[in-house]
Amino acid sequence: MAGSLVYELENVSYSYQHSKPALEEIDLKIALAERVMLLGPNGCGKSTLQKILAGLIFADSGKVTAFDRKITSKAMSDKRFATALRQKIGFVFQNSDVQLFCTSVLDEIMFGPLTMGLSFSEAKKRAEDLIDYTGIGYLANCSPHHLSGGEKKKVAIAAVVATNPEVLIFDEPTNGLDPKSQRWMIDTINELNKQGKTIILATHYLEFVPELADRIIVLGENHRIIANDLPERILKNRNILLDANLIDPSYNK
Amino acid sequence: MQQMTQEKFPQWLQVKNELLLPEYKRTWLSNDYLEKMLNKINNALATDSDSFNTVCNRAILQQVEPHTKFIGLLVLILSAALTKNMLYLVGLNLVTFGFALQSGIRCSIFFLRVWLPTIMFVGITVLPGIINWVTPGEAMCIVYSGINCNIGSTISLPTDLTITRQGVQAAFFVIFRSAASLGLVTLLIKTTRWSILTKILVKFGLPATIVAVLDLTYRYIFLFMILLLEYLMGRKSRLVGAESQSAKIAWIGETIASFFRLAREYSQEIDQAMQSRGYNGEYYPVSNIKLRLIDTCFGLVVILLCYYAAGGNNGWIFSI
Repeated sequence: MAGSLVYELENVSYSYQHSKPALEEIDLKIALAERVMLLGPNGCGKSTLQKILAGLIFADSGKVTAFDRKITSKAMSDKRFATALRQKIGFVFQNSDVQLFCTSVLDEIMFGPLTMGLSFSEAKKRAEDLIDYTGIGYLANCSPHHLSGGEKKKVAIAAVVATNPEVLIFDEPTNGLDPKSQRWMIDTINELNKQGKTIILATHYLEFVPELADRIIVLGENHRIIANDLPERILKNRNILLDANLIDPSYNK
Repeated sequence: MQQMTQEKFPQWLQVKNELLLPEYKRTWLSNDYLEKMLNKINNALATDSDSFNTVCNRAILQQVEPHTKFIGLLVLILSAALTKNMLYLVGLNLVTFGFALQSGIRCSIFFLRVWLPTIMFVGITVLPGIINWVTPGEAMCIVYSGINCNIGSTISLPTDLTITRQGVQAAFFVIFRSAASLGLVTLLIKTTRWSILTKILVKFGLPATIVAVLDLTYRYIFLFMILLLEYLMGRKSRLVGAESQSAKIAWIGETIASFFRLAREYSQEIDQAMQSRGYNGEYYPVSNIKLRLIDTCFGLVVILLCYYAAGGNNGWIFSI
């Protein structure tokens, strides 16, 4: 479902506390409605790359372009620009707790639409649609911190999707979910992609690759892209999978 | 879990978000509260990372055995407090600064930790002590003389206001003593791992429970900082429009409440984890003392400095 470019990254590097490298010389292009999966071992920089794509942190060097606009800290200090970008990009964090901050599930889902200036009735309609769609009607008035991990994830997705973003970034979406919730998650992501949403997700579980990715980007322990190819090619390349700690050499002989 | 179907997919979600990103305009407005908090946490994490790098340096003080270093620096702090030799105090400050540079502590950090608080707090506190009303003595500078200054009918100020040599001398003593003590403490903290430092404190009589609390605080404060960083990012990622003042305040309140709840949950789990590993209220810090040549040399330097401190202008430090 590839189309025009959404993202273009040129020679992007980032380090934490100016001393711990997280990303080194990343070159990357992502097309509209593409499903891109970031694979790699713990600490390789998947989440950091996603945060750069979401405009939450900024590259130390290199160029990040999204929707034909350069994303820099200066650009993001312009509130008009920042809010427009946030409407285009939704980020679902690995830890749902960090992005659920309202007192009820309904408020949580309505927060985005209300903040972007929709009327109360429109926002409520969106929230009700999403509650219905995700099947969490029985939770509408619950406080998010009373929910289970899977329920929190559903609320987090509904809250992010409520603003109808073009790009959806998922950080380890299936982490900590039971198999049934994982299946729900995979179906939801694919359904959103069918509606034209660009999907960028990070994981280190290979079993979801065939179902969730049009293209795979593998980050190595050296914080660089070590492969950028079609899923079937990556999955067949044992050396890349070993390099990225994605398979256990003694187990996957 | 409900299997979703395309029929149930909301109509508005199928509409393409055609919003175009505007050209950004340069703004001179300061960062908002989220950015400020993010910057502060990042700075705190960077400071910790910097401290860790300093501790890992292979400089002299980092190589001295921690117990020896603790005792040596403590003795030097005592010598600074007791000496009446100004030259010794100046020299000790220079030696401290030299060791700081040799240990990889940046000048700016040393200034912020040592000289800024010394000037800000001690300097201002001792300022009244330099005038003849507080410390009588030989006048160095006359502010006014022979003026009868009465406040109302009952209070009259002395006819002379001078800055005395004895007052300035005393002020300099206090300032240099404070700076030397702060400098030595900074050296100790910046060149010793926190985990080792707390173990030494136990050996020198600090209750183990306090040290356990300090150790756990140090461990978990960073966990909470990183979690707060994620919270701020989570908030930032969902701000798709202007935020009212009340919404900001409400979010801060919510976040504080969430952190209290998290802290409670964590403390219960940590307590259970400690108990499952046999914790019974006693804390056993482990440390191993091995003295080497560098420790003997360090001890000799400390003894030499103390010997010099003892033989000051006014004789022995205790001036009995």
